[in-house]
Formats: sequence, structure tokens, C-alpha cells
Amino acid sequence: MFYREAGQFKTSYAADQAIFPIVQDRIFVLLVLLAAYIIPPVFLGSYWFNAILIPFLIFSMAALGLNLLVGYCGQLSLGTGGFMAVGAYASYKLTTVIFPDLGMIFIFLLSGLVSAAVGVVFGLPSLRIKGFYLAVATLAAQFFLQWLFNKVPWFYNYNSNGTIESPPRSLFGTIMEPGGMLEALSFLNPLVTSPRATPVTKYLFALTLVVVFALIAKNLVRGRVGRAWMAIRDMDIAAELIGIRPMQTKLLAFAISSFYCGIAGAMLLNLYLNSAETLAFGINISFEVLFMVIIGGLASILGSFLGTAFIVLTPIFLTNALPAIGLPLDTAGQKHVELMMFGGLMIFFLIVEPHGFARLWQIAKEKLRLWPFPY
Amino acid sequence: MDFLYKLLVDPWIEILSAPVFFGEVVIGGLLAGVMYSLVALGFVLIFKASGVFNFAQGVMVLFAALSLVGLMERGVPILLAIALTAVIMLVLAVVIERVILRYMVNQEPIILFMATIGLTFFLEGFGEALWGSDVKRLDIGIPDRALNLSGLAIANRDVVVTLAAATLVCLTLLFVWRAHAVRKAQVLGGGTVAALGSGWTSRILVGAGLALFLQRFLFSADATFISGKAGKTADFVAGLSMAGLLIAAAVIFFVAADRLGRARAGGARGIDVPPMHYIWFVFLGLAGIVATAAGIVWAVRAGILINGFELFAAAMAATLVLVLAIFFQKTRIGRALRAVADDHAAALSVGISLRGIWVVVWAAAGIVALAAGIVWGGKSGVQFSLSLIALKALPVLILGGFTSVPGAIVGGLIIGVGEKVAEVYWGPAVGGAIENWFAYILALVFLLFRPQGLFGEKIIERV
Amino acid sequence: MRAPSTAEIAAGQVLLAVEDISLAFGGVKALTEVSFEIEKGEIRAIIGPNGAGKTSMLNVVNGFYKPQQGRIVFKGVSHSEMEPHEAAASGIARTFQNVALFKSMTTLDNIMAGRTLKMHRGLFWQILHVGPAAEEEIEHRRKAEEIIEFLEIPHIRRIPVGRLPYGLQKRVELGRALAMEPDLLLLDEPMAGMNLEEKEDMSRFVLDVNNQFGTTIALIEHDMGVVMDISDRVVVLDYGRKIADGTPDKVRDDPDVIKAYLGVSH
Repeated sequence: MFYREAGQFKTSYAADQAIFPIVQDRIFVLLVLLAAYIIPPVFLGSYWFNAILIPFLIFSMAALGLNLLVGYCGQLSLGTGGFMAVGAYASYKLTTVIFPDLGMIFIFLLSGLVSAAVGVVFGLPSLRIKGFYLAVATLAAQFFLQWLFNKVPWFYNYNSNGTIESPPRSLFGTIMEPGGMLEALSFLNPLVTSPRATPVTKYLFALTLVVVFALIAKNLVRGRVGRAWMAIRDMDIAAELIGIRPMQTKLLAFAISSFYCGIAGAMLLNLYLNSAETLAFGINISFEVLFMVIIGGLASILGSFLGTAFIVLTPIFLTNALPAIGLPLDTAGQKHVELMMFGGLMIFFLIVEPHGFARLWQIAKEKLRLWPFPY
Repeated sequence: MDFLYKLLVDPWIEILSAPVFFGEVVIGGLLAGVMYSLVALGFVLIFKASGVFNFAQGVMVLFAALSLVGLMERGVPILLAIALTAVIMLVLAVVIERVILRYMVNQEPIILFMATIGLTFFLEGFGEALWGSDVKRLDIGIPDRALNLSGLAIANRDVVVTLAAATLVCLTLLFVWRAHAVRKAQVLGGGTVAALGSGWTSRILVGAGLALFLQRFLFSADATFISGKAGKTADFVAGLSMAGLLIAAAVIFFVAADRLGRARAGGARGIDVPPMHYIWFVFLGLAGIVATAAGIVWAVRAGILINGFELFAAAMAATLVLVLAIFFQKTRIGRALRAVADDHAAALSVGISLRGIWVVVWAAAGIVALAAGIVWGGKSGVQFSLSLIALKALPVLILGGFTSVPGAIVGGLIIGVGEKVAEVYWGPAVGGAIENWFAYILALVFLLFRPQGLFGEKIIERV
Repeated sequence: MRAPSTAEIAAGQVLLAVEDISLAFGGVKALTEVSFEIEKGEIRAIIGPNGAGKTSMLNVVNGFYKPQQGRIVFKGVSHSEMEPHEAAASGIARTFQNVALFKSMTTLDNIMAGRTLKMHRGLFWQILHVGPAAEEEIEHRRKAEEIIEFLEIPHIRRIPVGRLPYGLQKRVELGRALAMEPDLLLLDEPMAGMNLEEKEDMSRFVLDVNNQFGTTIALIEHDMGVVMDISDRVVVLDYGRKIADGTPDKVRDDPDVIKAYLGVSH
């Protein structure tokens, strides 16, 4: 009744290739965006931002990046945590030593670029090996990078405790601060990092980054680059025979994916943790992000968000729900039950819908098309 | 400069100046490698038969060890406890098939992989909820301390050496048999490997080797084996290693002659060269045998320290591998397993029950996990970190090939030795603690030259 | 057959010359000293019993297999070996015996993927997806739609090709090859597993491609009726050697060919 594409005729290829060709989809996305920008700042408290919304946005960024690599290009990677660490440590070095005057937005982009370069290096094996062999090979990146940031003091500025901390920095840097060249614009230049920045500012910053990069991802996958990735994924030999160069295509996927992960890492340090050690970027993160991608739906931008929501929310839900139903458990016992339920839910969803939430969403839309009539 | 010196020169000097210590490091690495192999073996079994990359193998080790300790804490005697744990692993296999695998036939490998990660979480929570999450000691009555071989009572030493020798003989037979099978299958053109298994020349050579060995063993003047004098044991091993050397020399000779002959026959480039794969297999095997034998002789004479517990682990792994090899190659179920590994649909069409096979492999992997659990748990205590040894086994897997049982063993040994040697000699130069990633980089470098792993099948791509 | 003179290659009458190609896997010889040439604008059939080396021949031509001996002259440029994507870039397109489509992508995406080499906008514009990149996308979409019209498959435009029946998949694959606007189109058994009607359709498409776009075509086919009807010249391979070469009529009466096919004439 409400979700109909009948009667919406496309008269040009441009309209047919628009990002959301169906009118209702466009309206829906706009509404969600509006809600995301308005509702939390107005109605929600800092617990929501710090425990749910900001982590959700950060991991959405990482999941988007990994989905480009695994979902679209078909290259299985378990190095996400390592690439996020590169982003975080790069942002630390950049803000503290290399460009202390630069605004956070530029720092994030530069951190992403550093991570992309590292990603290309560790993507090189993908030219020779595939599938699970490649997945295990990317673990080399994970462990090596973690070790590197732990062992080489230069990366944490020779601190005695080996941690990196997020310094207070504003969005566009000193250039817009009092005394800078664009002082008049300083109202546009809030403090975004360190514990002194408000959760709302951090949230809006993260949200904007994620929205922009989700749009970029969508643009990439519906154009030439995305088709080349999918061709390599579906049948690499045939792709090569129609002129797609496997090396450039795969390395580009690694670069862009690591770019996203690097930004996510920088966000994790600067917008969420405030201070971190290499442990924060461990192998668990790699697995979690991979699972977000899979449970959300491989090769689906929307799925990346749904999967992230599931992985971020489920543990919080379990932690709160178990005491609520009155199970007499001590803390250790509760942790065990949570683990079991989390594992059980993962398996359950994989059995019910191996193509992820994105497929469920699609099916729901198909149903909506007919609703309320049976056909 | 100083850094480069530490990286490129220092380690070699250390190795050369203290060969006995180097020997101990290598042996320690070999024994640790055996333990990695044990975990990798579980992976290989399941991947081979069902194409599932089973990340839960590590947590299965933890689960088995937890159950074993839990039973023992409740007063069950050790042997009975092991048997009961085996039954638990069996039940676990059935449940996993019933609840998970059954519903995931024909899914993408990555989905199955993720499901095993879910299983990892579940089993971790379940095991610890059932048996408690505190660190437990697993005492199986084998001392975890260094044994000085030269200081051992002679009888003990004989036992050790005899065991080793028996293993070596078994391995030799296995290789010869394997080579024979390869030749029969006509995989190789020409006489390269035929030289090992049959043919008069090779029989004479092998016979000569055996004769040499028997001569040292039976007719040596000073003492008898049974009464257990040191000289005899050394002679025994020396004879064995000489026999091995002779066989190895024969192989080298034949391979060289074969290649030369081909080159002279003037075949075009790339034509008629037998798959190097098999030659490497035989080479590595024989070289390993010779090296081990020689190593034992040397170890006994030099009085090297060997950890008794690790030796026990090695013996256990060897036994398991032998049993599994026989199971895979010789039994009806084994044949069905190999059929399933090749092609699910084809196996179904000839009436093999996929589900039954899956229960069998998961149970077998469960038993292997129990073995690994006993070994690792006995060594470092039973706790959560036990499940992390799965991460240690992964580089072994890509080195050896996901589908190869011998690959898991040889890969484990290479990783074990490489890791220990690198940590001891090169670790200090770069700040230490490189064990975590060194194995991965080692495996990765290796993969760049052989993408299908050590013993993986060569992939011929066709369109 | 006489070998093509250098003058002829230079004059551009000969599009592709295969010279003295030998190829072996391990000990198995797939091709032995095979030479033939394809002239511009013709339909060249390659026939022979199973295992004669026909597919291997195509694989050598578009760079997937590297021959141990011999060379390939395409558009006057000599190659002893080249990478598949180089072959594609120089104008060789290809379909496969067992359909090699990108199964989870739609028909439209498959055909658009075939135009990868013709699209040049860089990453920056790809990211923005407005202006030049969007224009380029729309321009190529138009080409893709033309091909879809030509092959009479507009109704399956949005369907992932993995769900299509075999005959349509073959057609989409032809579409993907055509999207490359190749100079030389290699078709590996384009009519295998088809019924009579589908074969007629496919033959018509092959002839139309040849006529309308002037594309030179080399095809492997088992159906002798089709081969005799649509091809200009035929090469016959047997056990990796060339045993006959010439017009369909001439080849049909060749004693060696009759022997290779066990005397069964079609």
C-alpha cells in the first residue's frame, strides 16, 4: 500500500541509476538521517552516547571498510584490528608530534591514508593466495602490527606506561582558533577530542564522518570500481580475461578498506577510548568486525550498519536483561551465560539467514510491496 | 650498524660458539612443534572431510582439558577420566552435527567459519560454567623437567632410543610405501621414485643399508643390546643413521640421473618433468629421518637436555598420527571420508552418509583435541588461554596445507624450530616477544613461493 | 596452406596469426606446432574430436596459457606470451565452454563489467559519482542497453545471472564479450547444451555480430551443421595437431578429417 514502486517510471538512465531509485527509500533514508541528527542530541543522556551510539558509529566505519574488502572484493581479512591500530597510532603521532596545529578532521583523513599504505603492503600476499590461506596470512598483519606498536617506543612517544592518549584538539585546528587566520569561523570549530569534549559533539562528528563515508562506499560499489571488485570475487579468471587487472583491483580494495579501518581506529582512540594500548586493537576486534559484516550481510552497505548494531547491542542487552529476569548468578556465572547466549545467537542467525540482516530487510521490503494485499 | 650487526652477525656467532645449546634450542623447538601439530591435526581432519575451517578447535582443546580436570577433581582415576572425556567429546560431536551442521549444508565456507566462531564463544562459556573458570593444574604423572640423556640410567636410555628408532623405522616404511603407491598410480614418469620402492638397484641399496645396520647391531664386539651397554645403543643408532644416509644417497643419485637423462633426451621446456612435489616429499622425509637419527646419536653423546614431558608429547603425537593415517588409508570409513572430502555430492550419490561422516570427523577431532588438551594442559595448566593455541596452529596449517596430515606434522616441526631459534637468537635484537608473529611471517614468506602449502595439491586452473 | 607473408600481416588482412605453437602440461602435449591465421572479418571455426586441444588453443590466444614454443601475431604485433588483461586490452574478447559469468551480479552489471576497459574516470570521480563519472556511467549504460536489446534479453536485465537458465547465461556471456567491442571474438562452444531453437538464435546472433559490427570471430563448435553453415573457413585439430584447414566444403571431404571422426560424416 505504502511501499509501491508501481507507477514510478524512469525516463532517463540517470534517474534509474540514482542512489535510491525508489521514492519511498529516499524518504526513509532522509528521515533516518534527520532522526540521527536530532533525536539523540535533544533527548538522550551521555550513557547512550558513550556506551552505545559512539561505539556503534566507530564500528560501523570499520565494518563498512571490511565489507568493501570481504563482501565486495571477496578477499577474506582478519587484520582489521591491526589496521585500526595503525590509524590510532598514526593519529596519535600526527596530533602530538608531526602536525600539532592541524584540525582533527585532517588528522583522521591522514591517519586513514597511513593505514591504507600499510594495508597495501599486507594485501600483497592476496596476489598469490586466496580464501582461508589469505585470511590466516592477514593475521600476520594483526600480530606483527600489534607487536610493533608495543615494542617500538617511538610510536608511543617514549611514554613510561606505553599508552597513547588523545590530546584535546578542535575540528579544524588552530587556524580557526582565536589568533588563527580564520578566527571569525571559530563557532564552527568545536573541541572534538579528549574527555573535555562533550559527548554530543563527538557523536555529531562521528555521525557526519560515517554518513559521508557510507555515501562514498555506496558510490564506489555502484560504479566501475565496485563492478571490478565483484568480478574478481565471483570469478577472478574471467575478470582478468575481460581486462580487469587483478593486482590493481585487489590492492585498491585493500587500500580503501584499510583507509576506512584506519579512520575507525583513529575514531576509537580519539572519540571513545581517550587513551589506549595495543590490547585495544587485538584479534578479538578483527573477529568482531568480520562478524558484523557477515551477520549484517556481505556486499551490503546497509548490512554493515545492521550487523554492527547487533554486535554492539547484544552484549549490552544481555548484561541488562539477565539480572532483570532474576537469574541468581554471580558475576562469573553471568559472564559465562552471556558468552553462551552470544555464541548461540550467532549460530542461530547464521542458520536462519546466512545472507544476513540485509537479506531479511530485502525480504521485508518485498512483503511490504504487496502489503496489505496477499498478492 | 650496531643493530645490523646484532641482526646479521651476532646470532650466527652465538650458534657456532655454543652448538650444544643450539642443539637444545632445536630439540625444544621440535618438541614444541609436535604440540602445535597436535592442534593443527584437528583442524586438518575437519577441513579435509567437510571443508569447514573449524576455529573452535582451540576451544575444543580447552573444553576437553576442563572436562578431564573436572572429572579428576571429583575423584575419578586418570585413565577412566580420559575415557569419559573421550565419550564427552563424542557426544559433543553428535550434538554439533545435530544442532549446527545439519542446517548448514551447502553454505558458503565463510558462513561455516563464522558459525564455528559462534561455537567458540558458546563452548567457552559452557565449559567454564560447567567446570569453573579458575586456573587448574592437570597432573598426569609425567615430570615436566629436563632429562639429561647422558646421565640417565642405561636401561632408560635404551628405552628412549629404542622408541625413537622404532618410530624411525615405521616412518621409513611409511615413506617407502607411500612412494610405492605414488609409483603405482603412475603419477611419476620414469624411475625417480621407483628407485625407492622397488627395482633391483634400490632393493640392493636398501638391503645393503639394512645389512650395515645389522652388522653393527648383531656382530659388534663389545656388548649385547639386551644387557644394555652404552656402546651398543650408540652403535644401533649409528647403524640406523648410516642406513638412512645410504638410502638418501641413493635417492639423490637417482633423481640426479633421472633429470640428467631427461635433459639429454632433449625434451622441450616444461615437458615430461615429474611433479617436484613428490620428490620433495620423499626428500624431506628421508632427510628428516637421517637428521633425527644423527641428532639422537649426537644428543646422547653430548649429553643434551631434553624435557621429558615434551618427549612424551612427541611420542603421543606420533602414535596419533600413525593411527589416523591407518584409519584414513585402510578402513572403509576412511575411504568414505576421502570421498566426501573430494566431492560432497558425488559421495552422497554413492550412498555415503554425509552426516555420519561429519560426526566421525568431529569426534576424531575431539579426540585429537583431548590429546592436545592433556599435553598442553599438563604443561601450562588448564585455563582460558588454552583456547588461544588455535592461533598458534594456524601458521602451521597454511605452511602444511589445510588438507594434509603429514603437512600438519612437518609444518608444526618447522614452525616450532623456526620460532624457538628466532626467539632465542634474533629476538633480543628487535626487542623480544616475536613468537606471536614470527610463525605467521615465516609461513607467509613460504606461501609466496608455494601458494598451496607444503603438501597441498597443486591447483591447475582451467576455464 | 601457405604461411601468411609479412606483407599480408602488415597490410592488415590477417588479424591474427598463430605460428608454430606448442603447449604441454607436465608430460601431456596439448598442442604440437599448430599454425593458422585468421583474416579480418571472417568467421573461423576450430573443430576436432574431444581432447583435440581446441580450448587450449583459445587459452593460448588470449594469454591464459603460456605456450612453450611459437608466437602469436595479433594486429601486426608479435607476442611470445602475454597476460590475459593485456590480450583483453589489445582487443580480444572471449566466452567460455562452461559459462564463466559473475554469478551474483545482474545481467546489466555483467555487461557493464565488460566495459571496464573503456571507462577511464579515476577514483576521485568514482567517489563523488557526480559530474564526469556519472556521465561516463550513463554513456556506457546506453551502450550496455544497446547490447541487451540486440541480444533480446531486456527482461532479465535486473536478475542475478546465477539464477538464469543455461541458454540465457550463454547469451549474457556473449553480451559481456560484445561490450568490450573486441576486434577478435573467441567463442568456446557457444551452442553446447542448447536445443535446436536456441542454437538457431545463437547462430543468428553470431552472424549478426559478424555482419553488423564487422567483428572477426573464431569459434569452437561440435555441431557440424552449424559449423558448415556459418563459418567461412575451418581449422581441424586432432591430438593437438592441425590436420586440415580450408573452406567447409574442402575440409568435409578431407580424408584425414573423415578418419579423425571415424568416418562419420555429418
